[in-house]
Amino acid sequence: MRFVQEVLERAPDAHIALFSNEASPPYNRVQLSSLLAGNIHFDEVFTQLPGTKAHPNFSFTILAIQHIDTENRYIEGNDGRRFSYDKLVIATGARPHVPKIPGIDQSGVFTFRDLKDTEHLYARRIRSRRVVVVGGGLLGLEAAKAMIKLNTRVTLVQQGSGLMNRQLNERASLLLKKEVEALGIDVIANTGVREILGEGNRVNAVALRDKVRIECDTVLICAGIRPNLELARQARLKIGKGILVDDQLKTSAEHVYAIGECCEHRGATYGLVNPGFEQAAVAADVICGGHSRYQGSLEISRLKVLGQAVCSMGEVNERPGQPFQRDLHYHQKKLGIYRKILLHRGRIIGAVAYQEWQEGRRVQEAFQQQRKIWPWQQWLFLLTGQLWIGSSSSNPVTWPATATICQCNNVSQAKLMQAINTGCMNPNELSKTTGAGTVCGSCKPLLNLMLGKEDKPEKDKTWFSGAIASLFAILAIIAIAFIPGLQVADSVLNKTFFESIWNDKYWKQVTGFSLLALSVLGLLMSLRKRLSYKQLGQFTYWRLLHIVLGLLCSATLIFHTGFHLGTNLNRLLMINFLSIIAIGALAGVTVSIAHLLKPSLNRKIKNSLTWSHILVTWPLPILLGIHILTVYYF
Amino acid sequence: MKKILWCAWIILSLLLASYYLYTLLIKAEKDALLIGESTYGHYQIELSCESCHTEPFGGKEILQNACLNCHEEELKLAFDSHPKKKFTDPRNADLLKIVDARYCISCHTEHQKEQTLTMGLTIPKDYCFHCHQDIGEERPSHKDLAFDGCADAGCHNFHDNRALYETFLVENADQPWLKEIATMTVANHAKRTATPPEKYFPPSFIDNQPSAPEITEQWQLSKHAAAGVSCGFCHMNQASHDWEEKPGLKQCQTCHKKESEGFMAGKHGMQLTVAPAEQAAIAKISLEKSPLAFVPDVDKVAHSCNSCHEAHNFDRVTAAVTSCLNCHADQHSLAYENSPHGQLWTKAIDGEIPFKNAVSCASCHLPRTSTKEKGSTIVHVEHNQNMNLRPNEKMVRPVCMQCHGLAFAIDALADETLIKNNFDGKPKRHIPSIDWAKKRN
Repeated sequence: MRFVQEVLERAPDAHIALFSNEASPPYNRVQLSSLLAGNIHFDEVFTQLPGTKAHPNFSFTILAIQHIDTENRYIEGNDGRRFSYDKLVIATGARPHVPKIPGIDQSGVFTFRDLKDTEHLYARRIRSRRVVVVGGGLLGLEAAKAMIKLNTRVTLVQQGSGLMNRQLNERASLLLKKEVEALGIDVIANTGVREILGEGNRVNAVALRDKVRIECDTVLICAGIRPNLELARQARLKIGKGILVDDQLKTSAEHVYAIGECCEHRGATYGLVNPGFEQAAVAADVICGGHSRYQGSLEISRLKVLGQAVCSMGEVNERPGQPFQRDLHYHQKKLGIYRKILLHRGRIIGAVAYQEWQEGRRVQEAFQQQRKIWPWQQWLFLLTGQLWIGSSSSNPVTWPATATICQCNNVSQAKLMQAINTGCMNPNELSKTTGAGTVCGSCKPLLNLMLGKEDKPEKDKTWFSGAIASLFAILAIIAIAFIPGLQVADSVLNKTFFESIWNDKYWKQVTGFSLLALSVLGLLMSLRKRLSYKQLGQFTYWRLLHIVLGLLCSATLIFHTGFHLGTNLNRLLMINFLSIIAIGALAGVTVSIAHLLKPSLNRKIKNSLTWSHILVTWPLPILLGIHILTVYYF
Repeated sequence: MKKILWCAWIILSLLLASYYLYTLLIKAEKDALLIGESTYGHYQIELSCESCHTEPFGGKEILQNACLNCHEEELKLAFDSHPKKKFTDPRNADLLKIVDARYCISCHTEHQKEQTLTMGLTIPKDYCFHCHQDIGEERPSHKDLAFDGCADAGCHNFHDNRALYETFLVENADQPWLKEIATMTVANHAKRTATPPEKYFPPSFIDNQPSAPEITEQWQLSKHAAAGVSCGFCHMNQASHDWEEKPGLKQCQTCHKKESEGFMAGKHGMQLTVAPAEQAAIAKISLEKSPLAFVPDVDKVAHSCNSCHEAHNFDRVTAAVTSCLNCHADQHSLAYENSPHGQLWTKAIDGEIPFKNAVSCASCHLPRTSTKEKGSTIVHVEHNQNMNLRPNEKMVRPVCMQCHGLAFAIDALADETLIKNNFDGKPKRHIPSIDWAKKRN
């Protein structure tokens, strides 16, 4: 269905015939667990069929296709009707894998795959008191969660070592298990169902391989899926685990494409929804004459049951004993964050993350492009769970120019940056100019990030006073740096007022401690940033205060030093002070005139200036402290 | 991430703080904390902070004590015209509001090289104005004189006016420019006051005594031989009784106490007053900071008695001129040989006149000074070259006036060109102080 939408979007008049063997209009399979849990209404799972007015050449037929003739290019339904095609897209999906367990045919054993299954389960749920879910994958978890709703006891039996062992390694799945158990679902791992016991064709218990018996009235089989390959096999398409397809999703036969759970791309079959969507989009683009390429998907699954993001790519489990291989773990117990990367000769061959990982997309890029992860990055990862410095590394603006942002159309970061700099202000324009995001759309969030939130910052309330104060501060700094140190008067008769301030031992202390006080007050803004009490007043006024304090500092500095830059320690302190105020004032100007700048540019300048401002402030407390100490020490 | 940043910040801060605290509290060389170059008077001990900053957090009083520690004696000898007690007098309390003259550092602030005038003065030269602005009413001769000339050569000094007070000027008026040539007194300080070391020499010392005929010969011609000071007096270590190959200041001090004291108080020996721990830092100081010109590389010469006095023969003729010119290469020094004073010295070397009537560098800069001690006159050579050097009127009474009239001496010392060519000629300037003094009396 997604494919149909994608094609019609590109070519509204295309002749498309959609065939389905299910006795219902097209629906969104992802919603089924929500439907089962009673979170959404029955009508909401159906997807809207394309309107016949806008797309007169679209037709939908409920018909099981029995035969494909790739030579003569027609398909045949089970009623004997034949339909010829230019291009054929096979999206037959998969069916649940039902293991051969004694007693599996009894009533009370369910699968959970399509709308019909859901209807049955929905009816069953009301009477069910004890449920055994077989399988600990994403579907099993979602089903288990849905079944628990009415105070039903749910036990999850998992054959593998941990939950979602296809996506997660052991440690991540242990974390998941904890959360699942917290919901009230019993998890029994590392075992399988040996037999389903029943009385009079009615399930009453399951026997596990380790001879444990679990009383139950319902068994739900979620033990994975098997691609529906009968049609393909009959049409003599090349088949592995699924129908083999290339980067353009073409099968071994001319004009035949395969997408979704039934296809196998670069040795991978996907059971999640996002890869399917991406494939649908690429196939639609190719069929409409585009040149996009499908490069594999990042398996990011958001566990709706737990609201937890889980992300994995490449190798998931450790492969002990492999040479040149390192796996790095980062585990933040308090927040339950777990991340792991698997490196081979310093390049990522796999990664797992439990909970949100801002850098996920960049890691994927590094994984696909086989970028080198430097030892210091590995250290950073071990310490902070990040591979790149700064919270902004999730923004492609900070990525290397060669990074590929749009996988489908192979658009690099540099090309996008160029487009942004030549005036593309919104994602649509950007897509139009570069082609990025026009196929599967999975990079659209990245494009949005690159453009910034793109609402122009509003004019700050204090922008004018802020800008003026900052400019004066800059002027003061330039004056101090470039005006030579004042000479003392050559006669007692023409000693100026100014000299009696800067060259007087008493007034030097007055101005010195004023500077200290102003500096401490300046830190208050930093404090305000970290406290979010509303009654503390608006931040913009605090910032204005901070800027004015900086300006006062530079003025007091003139009175303290008389434009002299000092030597040794005092020179260092002076340089430090001047750079703090200078960078701070530049940041002040940027913030104040933010509404006049391009948002992305503004943010870039502002961030780097703010950071430099904070960075150059670090030696100040020590230098100032030692300065005051030495003045009184000697 | 935040934690890491904070940790890094704390670690870096601690590193920076420990570097400076280490420099402040432990390290001998504290040049990282120096707030500015020292004056030419103190640059040699610039890195020996404890010489002046004797106690941490000392404040004014401690610094004042440090100043007096070296300069008090000098001020006393000079009958300081503006002593502290003049300002502690309550009647003068209001004057202190302008300049707190009780403390040296009010006018002589250190580490302010840019502001420093001659004599280490760090306030404008016309500071006299503050208290003496109505001088014109009292002395009509001073009416309309600019205050920046008060302390010029030949008029007044803030501290030392021994050769400039009115009575003295009147008494010594009308003297000829050249009086009878004076005769140098004989220094008797060592002979009269020294306590000779014990004359007993242990066998170990005698065994180790090397025999060098040329050294013995040199010694035999020296004053030491005449005074009966044999090898052991200098070469025996007083503590261990062992042979000491190179006797130093400590050995000389046993007999030449006053000379040593003067030497260490002056610029030639001041580095030796610094604590041994700081010697290394001091050794780095170069002559570039001195306002004088020198023969290249002489700053590598060690500062000791033997730098000028050759060992064993201790020839005073060498020490009085040759040793000086080994290092000093300013105009005044280079002009000496052809100056009238230098020609007298050449004559003495040629045997035409006795040395006691000649004028060497030492005659003026390291003059023989007599003091009365227990009723007898003790004459020693003042080895503090600075004792009568700045301001140069200090030289008038003890040195110049031995041979020259007061008026001539005052005029000559006020004439920069004459000083540079080592007094080759008559002064071009005339200082009217004697005339004014005479007129008033």
